[in-house]
Amino acid sequence: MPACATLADLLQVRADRQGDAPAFRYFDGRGEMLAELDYRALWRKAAGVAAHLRERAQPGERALLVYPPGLEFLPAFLGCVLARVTPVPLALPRRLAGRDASVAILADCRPALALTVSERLDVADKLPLADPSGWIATDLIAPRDDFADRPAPEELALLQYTSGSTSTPKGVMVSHANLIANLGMIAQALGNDERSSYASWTPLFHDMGLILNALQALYVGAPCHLMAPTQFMQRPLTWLKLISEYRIDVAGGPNFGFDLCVDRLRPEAAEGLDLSRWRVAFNGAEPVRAETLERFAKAFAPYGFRREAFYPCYGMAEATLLISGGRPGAPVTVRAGAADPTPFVACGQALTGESLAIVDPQTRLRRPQGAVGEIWARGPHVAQGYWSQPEATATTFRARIVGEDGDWLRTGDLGFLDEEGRLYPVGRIKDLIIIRGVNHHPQDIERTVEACHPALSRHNGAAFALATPDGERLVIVQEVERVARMAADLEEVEAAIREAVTQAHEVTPHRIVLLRPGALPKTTSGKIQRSLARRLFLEGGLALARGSLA
Amino acid sequence: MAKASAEEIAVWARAEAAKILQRPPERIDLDAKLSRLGLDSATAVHLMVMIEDWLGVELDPELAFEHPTLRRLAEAIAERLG
Repeated sequence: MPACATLADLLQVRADRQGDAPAFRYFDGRGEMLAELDYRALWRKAAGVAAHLRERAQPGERALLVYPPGLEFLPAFLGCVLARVTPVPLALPRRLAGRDASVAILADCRPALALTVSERLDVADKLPLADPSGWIATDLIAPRDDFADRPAPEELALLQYTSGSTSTPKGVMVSHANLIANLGMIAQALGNDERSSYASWTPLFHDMGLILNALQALYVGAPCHLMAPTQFMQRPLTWLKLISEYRIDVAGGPNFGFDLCVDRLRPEAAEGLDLSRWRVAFNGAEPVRAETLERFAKAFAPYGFRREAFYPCYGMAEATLLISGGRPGAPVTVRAGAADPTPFVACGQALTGESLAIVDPQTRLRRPQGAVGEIWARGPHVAQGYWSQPEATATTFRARIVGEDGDWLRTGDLGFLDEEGRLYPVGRIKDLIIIRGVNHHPQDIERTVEACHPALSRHNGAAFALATPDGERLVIVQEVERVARMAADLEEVEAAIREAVTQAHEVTPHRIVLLRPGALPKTTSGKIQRSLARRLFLEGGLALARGSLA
Repeated sequence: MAKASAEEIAVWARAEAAKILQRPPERIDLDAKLSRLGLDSATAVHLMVMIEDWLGVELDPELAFEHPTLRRLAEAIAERLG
């Protein structure tokens, strides 16, 4: 592995050493290649973008990256890096204009520039900059042979907004040193080198798509084959065909993607599929389910898929990306839970240069081996903190274990370590709902619910996650005013909630339960008790707005 | 390629939507917007794929956004089948 201190060094090394080799390829839903960039072209396009940005922004200023699926994101991202303008990747605003975090992110990081492709400059209407001339279409910028400036390792390589709620987003500040450290840890944990090859459908604005897929491929000098998330959702077998055709050895994504492949498997469409070279099938970004691994292994064994390829892992943006992962080729370890019927899947061990601790979140004392507590991590990959939020940064990134020195990252997740140091995530302290790899904050969903119908009042509902045989699902419990307790009215209220939540959050509510006024459990200070509401829901202990559930 | 009337497609799509949403088919209104039924873009794409498999045709997933009720979607598909 070359000694690189920043992403800019890395890009240069790849362009110098293997300029003609394919870096990124982009495919449509049928597996036809639409675009390709070799390392030299990537470098030249990035240098062109950098020179253009330098005329428009100072080092340290921020640039939004708002791209449709394709290859244009990557030279724009790397152009920001060369110009020392901090890239802020964002999803394209949705078609059904629900409320999303973009506007609050704009207000939080105050970007000078916003980059996209010429055909999507229309998004400028949805994301207004202080200076509208800051919108730039990077696909029209001429490539250049060089760009002289380079960032320093302690400068920010990325501002990653995957945490925080819609109204109060949190941008994780990832330095070049953090990123290079985590890329090195990932390469070692997954056993990647320049002979590796990648196939990914996870979006580049998401930390897993960007870091574990695209930047890791760049780091080890492996070609990366990309397809759009929506294309994968429609034709997941195309991803498997890329893996087969291009002899891919590393490919993965959130758990639901593996389920989707099994659901959509048609023997006639999968004929000739060869998955025998698939060495690391990583699974992360949402809880890893033993049942999914089982059914995927069974369904794809006839096509050469080896069960040992499964690679459950755990991470989050606050640690750049990866926190734990196992040894490639080692069998997946599963432990039965005491109360919970679903077994817990081990997500590997601490990475090289990293420490993990299981800590009692109240007493801040270490928990013994095998006992459940909050997962804490420390190492060179732990990010610098949240942008412009010193208090939240201190709480999350500078936690102390009683009687010990040194700062730790609090993950907000619960887990335990076994006798071999394997980490089993078992749940969350934070009230987060993770569906299809996307984090949803209950507060955001509750706000949508209470505003969608006049019979609903503010601060009288709770949204929480429910583990089902099909993965994590959203449950909404909400009090309704007495005036709306006729059966017909209740159906109307339920439909309104379903529509509002589906449109605004792109999640189908699994259950909507309407409650009598005062039925929702709250603390004496009036705080909604989501976990108690969840327990009462499971036990059937909530007072319903009508006698029985339809 | 299968021939199917708009009515047949609508009834079939309602049954499939009922499975996806885990609700009885009779509670799924053919004239309600897909989002009102609780179909988000991922589940709408899933429904389109199931219809594709059933009919043995390829359909543009955008159809579900351009014709956002089960009845209108079925009519649009029937029209394409000729």
